[in-house]
Amino acid sequence: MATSSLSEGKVVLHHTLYNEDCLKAACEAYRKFAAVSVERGDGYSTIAMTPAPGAPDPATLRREFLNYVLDLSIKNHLAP
Amino acid sequence: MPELPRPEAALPAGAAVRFEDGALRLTLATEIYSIGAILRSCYWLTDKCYVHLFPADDGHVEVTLLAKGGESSETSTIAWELLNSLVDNQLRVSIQQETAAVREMIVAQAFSDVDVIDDRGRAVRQGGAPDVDQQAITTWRPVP
Repeated sequence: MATSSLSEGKVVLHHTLYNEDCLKAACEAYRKFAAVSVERGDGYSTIAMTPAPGAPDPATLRREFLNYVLDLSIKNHLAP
Repeated sequence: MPELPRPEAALPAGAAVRFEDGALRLTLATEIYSIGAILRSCYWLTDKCYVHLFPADDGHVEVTLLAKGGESSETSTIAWELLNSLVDNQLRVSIQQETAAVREMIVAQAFSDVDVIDDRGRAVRQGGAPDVDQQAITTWRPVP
């Protein structure tokens, strides 16, 4: 059985579902907790994070980041 | 309450896939559930689980869920909740689309100085000048 995308070291976020501006804002917000690297592809971004000392474990941090960027994207999507 | 079946066993083959970390991936057809409905449903679950969305090639969106507690059975319960919530939100999105014109007209009427809808709720023809009584304009009438 394979691991899910929630447990992989890098996570791919498509801009059709995750707004690019929201992604930038989330990366900026998470720089306090981790070194965030973003690789931009055609219509998607690949995110990798290295937690700062004292930050939660990498998997939890990555998952919390995913929820955070999803939250921002949804609010942006629902905004009039 | 009886225990719910595991989604990967109960749903059509391939619709739900379980991973070794306990996460569950649901594949949703955007023909049935719009992106707006999927986003809304996922939004309400982010306090209980971690969510990752990924667009599949052929008009599908993959939603990967993992309960914050990490329990596989908890993730299954959340997945069933998501599926029910999707029906609810898709209905809301459809009603919103179907009634968009009426809502716009009501708002326009509320903020307008002139009628944009008549007493029976029908749209009043816009753009055309109203019929003018030319004689009334040119004939002087003293105020009584």
